[in-house]
Parts: sequence; structure tokens; C-alpha cells
Amino acid sequence: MNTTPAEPILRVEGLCKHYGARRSMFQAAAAPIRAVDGVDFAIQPGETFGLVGESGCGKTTLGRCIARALDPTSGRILYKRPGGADGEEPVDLATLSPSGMRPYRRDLQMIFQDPITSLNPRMSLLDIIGEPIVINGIAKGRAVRDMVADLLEQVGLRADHMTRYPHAFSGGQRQRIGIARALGLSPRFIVCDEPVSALDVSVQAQILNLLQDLQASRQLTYLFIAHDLGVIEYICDRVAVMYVGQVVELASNEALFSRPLHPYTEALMAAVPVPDPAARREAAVLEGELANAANPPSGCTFHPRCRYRTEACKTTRPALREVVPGHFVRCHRAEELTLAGPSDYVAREARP
Amino acid sequence: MIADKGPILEVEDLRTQFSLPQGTVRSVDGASLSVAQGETVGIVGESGCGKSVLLRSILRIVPRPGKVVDGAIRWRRKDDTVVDLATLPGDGREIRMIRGGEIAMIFQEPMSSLSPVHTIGDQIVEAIMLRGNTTPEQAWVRAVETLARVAMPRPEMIARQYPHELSGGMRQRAMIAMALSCDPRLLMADEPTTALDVTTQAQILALMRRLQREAGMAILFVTHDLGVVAQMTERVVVMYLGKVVEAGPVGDIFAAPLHPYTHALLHSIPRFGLRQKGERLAAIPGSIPDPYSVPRGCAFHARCRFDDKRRCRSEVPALREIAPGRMVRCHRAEELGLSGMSMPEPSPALAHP
Repeated sequence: MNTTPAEPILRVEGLCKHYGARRSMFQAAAAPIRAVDGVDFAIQPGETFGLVGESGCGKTTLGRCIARALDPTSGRILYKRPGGADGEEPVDLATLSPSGMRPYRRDLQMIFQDPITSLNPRMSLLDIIGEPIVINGIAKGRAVRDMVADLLEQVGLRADHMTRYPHAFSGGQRQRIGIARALGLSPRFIVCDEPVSALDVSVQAQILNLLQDLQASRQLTYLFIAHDLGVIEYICDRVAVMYVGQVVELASNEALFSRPLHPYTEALMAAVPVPDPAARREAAVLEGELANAANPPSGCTFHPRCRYRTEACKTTRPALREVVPGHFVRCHRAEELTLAGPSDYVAREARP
Repeated sequence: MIADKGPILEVEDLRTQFSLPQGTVRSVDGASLSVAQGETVGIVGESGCGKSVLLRSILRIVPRPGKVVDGAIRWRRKDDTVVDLATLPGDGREIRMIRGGEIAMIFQEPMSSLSPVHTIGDQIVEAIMLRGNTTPEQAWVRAVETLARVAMPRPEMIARQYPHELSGGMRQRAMIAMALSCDPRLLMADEPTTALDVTTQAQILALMRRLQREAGMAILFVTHDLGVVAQMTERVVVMYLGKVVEAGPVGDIFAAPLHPYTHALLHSIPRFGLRQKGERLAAIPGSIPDPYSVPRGCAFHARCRFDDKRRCRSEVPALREIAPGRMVRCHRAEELGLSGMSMPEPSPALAHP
């Protein structure tokens, strides 16, 4: 599924995370919840790869599996360190033991959604940001202080903040602390799990710009998880749309937002309220709710909500196919449908 | 529907304060607004701007130690008499009849506003029985009808279920059904779709629009989402640190904002097409000030690109009407000529603080 000739930094193959399949002494086996159900994609070094979908679609579970905060049920996560020796084989992170995983933890860091619960309130910034540096043996004593001071300044805080505790900071500043902690180990790849969802819009823009600057100066690769399509469109190079544990569409930012190929993507984009009173419209509302991941519908999992469904959609599960070079979609009717993207209705209905 | 479009609600110079050991927080600090019959007014602002406390002040349900200390809340009742809600006893009979009966409110998180130990139907029946002389049987029938009105699937069955059995979108529908059960003339909605997914949000917004058309009620809509404001409201009130900084018709505010804060908000949201043009988001530097130490002068001056370093820092600007229907609280409103959403942003992107 490699779309460009460059070698991917991360390749996910058939990744699954199922919950609750185990049978206990007192309980018959229930149908497992297929939170992530066979995901494939490859991420190129230096790009921002977006993962978007409604709550419950499995995007956070997928992100956590890749960072090995969760153990995947099956599938492979092939990681190749950029700048490594030419013949170096990628490592399958999915099968590594905790100790085998340790050297790669430095490369793969994570930024969380909630900057309040993801920082220990009893630790000063020096301890929060310095702890991973000490544990990984990168620096000791005085040098840790210098590194923390430097990191704080890189994320737009002051070095003398390091003696303070998280409660003394606003939401946006706390998110900067979380970013500084992730940067301490000089990672190559950062899983950003809804990093701006809990922030006010004025602060959200600061954090997005900061993430872009850090990516440019440190050659970072991001897996960027969000539910806000506006944020995704602003920051991502390529985007995967998830629905009930599966990728239903994967394309470059430009291709996805100018011409979506999956009816679910079209519906998601149409549901976003356009911040322009002149382009007011009665959106074609997507009926119903996200399907149950323990008992997904037959055929295409989206068919009960899809306005373009046919008989085949109810019985045959579509495969993820490359319809246009680099543009993958999981829909039987991708070629025959002409779907609308945001540029269509904004342009069509904007003032003369 | 009644032809009269005069205001049914007029809030004037309202002040709500919380006296805490650390100091006094002026959550609402001289806010004024009006809502006409059948109109949708949006209140926009970031967290801590006082928009939720303002709504709660109108219904007199500000949690202790918060108190409405000054100002007027003039509410026109069904018989055209006007009462000042700010002076009514907070637990008296009159305010209790208005609460729910004439002004209803829905909240952001339906799970914490619904009782977990009563069925949806029983909770709506309770609201109906509180203000009508109906039998429990009639009230039950009406509860099921109201659930059907908010497009709840299988209303008979849902009425017998508990909140935890419903999804977030269904719970919000149940909340709306409860609010509508007494045919209010004003519905106050405090971030009703913030906790929902975009597709569910679109369903709830479409529902609110339809109900408003059918019932002709006014809506006072609090949100931080400028997209929702653009799609839902006719007039907008922008709040910053307890004060109204700008108010006017939604089209005018998006096309040509008058206050630097409104301008900055509009340009800090990611919108489709920004990336293709290679533009960068214009972030507002700094963060919302601590409520115990509001800056002197204009409260926004420390984050404002147009701070004149003199008057903006010493004198609190007044809320002035500088064009018909357009209110702004800025010394420099006339000279700035700020650009709106549809116009490209000419100035260079701001650096991080």
C-alpha cells in the first residue's frame, strides 16, 4: 500500500484490536468488540498522517496500539528508523516484548488529548519533563535541568517555569508541557491523540502552529488523530477516514477534501457547520448512529446509514481498493458516484 | 404566530459575582442583550468568558456562592406584563413558574442533567405535572408525544428507559423533549452539541431549527463554535471576561467584525481551503487572563494587536452603538477597518508568545 517510492517510517498491516473475546469461568464467550479490525497503511518520514472519524470508530485505539500503549490482537506494525543502514530490516513492534520495545520507546512518543489528566499534579515540570530523560539515560543531574530549560523554551514556555506544578498553567500551556515531555527523548514519530480538542479556538491555533514548527525543525513524523475535519484539513498531508474499526478512505489531503470517494466521508464533511452565515444550508443529515463494533452490520458496515446503498452493499463487504493512484476507498460504488466535498458547497453557495 | 417582534427578554448591565476566599470573580460584569420573539441569538466566547453564568443568572440558578448583584433582567410574560427576574426571590413561586414553564434550558452534558434513577418518561411527566393540572395518565401521553416530536425513534419504548441506556445524541433529544414539554417561549441552550460528534450535532441542530419553526420560540444559544453560530443564529453577542465586547447581526459580524477579539477569533479557526492557499492560522497570543487579576483598561489589550499602549491600557472602553444594531466595546473600533471571514487576511501571521 505504499503510495510513494520513499520507504515508509511506519507500515501497519492487518492490525486488529479486539476486546472481550476471552471466556471466563463464569461467562460464556461474548462477541468480541472489534475496535480496530484489519487496518493497513504506511506513513512516510516527515509527513503528518491524519486519522479522522466519529467517537467509537477506533482511531484512539489504533493510535495507542501503534505507540504500544496497548497490545494489538493481531497484525504487524513495521517500524524503520529513518537514516538507518540501507539494508536494515524494519522491526515489527507488534511482537516485541516490553524490554524489546524499550529502545524504540524513545523514537515513538505520544501527546494526549486531556492536558489535565495526562500530567501528574504532584510533579513539578522539571520532574514531568525530566523523568523520561533520566530513565532513558540521556542525561543526569545538572544536564537534565539544562535540557528541560531548553525544551520549555522550544515549546514557548519559560525556563523558570520548571519549578512550578501543572495546576499553575492554563489548558494551552499544559498541552505545551505535554509536548515538551514528548520531545525530551528526541523522538522520530509522535502519535498526537486529539491534541487540540480540549482547547479554546484561540489557543488551538497556537498549538497547531507550534506542532508545525517543531515538525519542520526536528524532522518529525506525526500520526494526528482528530475528529475535527477543519483541524485535519489544516495540518495533515494524508488522511485516513475510519468507520467501525476500519479505514474506509485514504487519500492525500487535497484529493480527499476536493473529491471524497466514500459516502461516509461526504456525509462527515457535509455535517461540519461552515463558519460563514452566507453559506447557510440545511445539510443532508446523516441518519442513525455509529454501528455497534461487537455486531457490525453485514456487508458494508456503513450501508444502514448510506444514501447510495444497493443490494450488494447489504451482503458483500467491500475491500479497500486503490481507485485513483494514491486514493484508496472501501466502497463498491466508488467509481460511479460523484460525491461533493467542502469546496463544492462553499463555492456554490458563497456570496456573489 | 404573533406579529409583535419586540424583545421578550432584555438584560441590562447584569453583574454576577462569586465571592471566594481568593477574591471576587466578576463572572458577568455588566452584560446587556435582548432577545426578540422567535429570534435566535448566539452568545460566543471562550471558556471563562461568563457565557454560561449569564444564562444561569437569567434563570436565577447560579450556584452558590455566585450572586446576581446588579442589573435588570426584564422578561415579558405571556400576558404582556414585564417582570424583573433579577429582583425576584430566587426560590419564589413566580420564578419557579417561569423556569421551565416559560424559559427552558438545555445543557451541554445531558448525562449529568438527567436523573440516572428515573426513566426518561417519568422525568418528562414530572416536568409536565409541575405546571399543569393534568392527570399522570394524560401527562404520560404528552411525554410520549413530546418524544415523538423530537424525532426520537420508538418513543413509547424510550420513555420506559433510563438515561444510561441511550446514546449521547438520544439523551440530548430527551433533554430537548423535556425542555419543550411545557411549550416555553424562550429556549436557552448551553453548548448543546459540544459533546456530540459532528454527524449527531447536525441532527440536533436540524431538530432545533425545525422545532423553532413549528413552535415560534426564541432561542438563546451559547457556544464557542463559530460554525454553529454562523449556521444557527440571527444575531450574535461576543463575550470576553464577563463583558459583551461586540453584538450585531450575524452576517455583519462575520463580514466585518468591529472588535479585535472577534476578528482574532474568526481568523484563528481552521477553515476549508486555508492550507491550499498556503496560509497559516492566525493564533491569538497569550491565554485568557486569570479571573482574579483582570487587566486594567480594556481587558483584551494584552492579547490585542491594535493595543495603542495608552488609552487601551488605562480606560475601560464603553459598549457603544456605532452603527444601527452594531454594538462594540473598543476605543479604536471606527479606525481599524477589520476584515471578515470571506476576505483574505492581509497581515502577516502572528508569532507565538
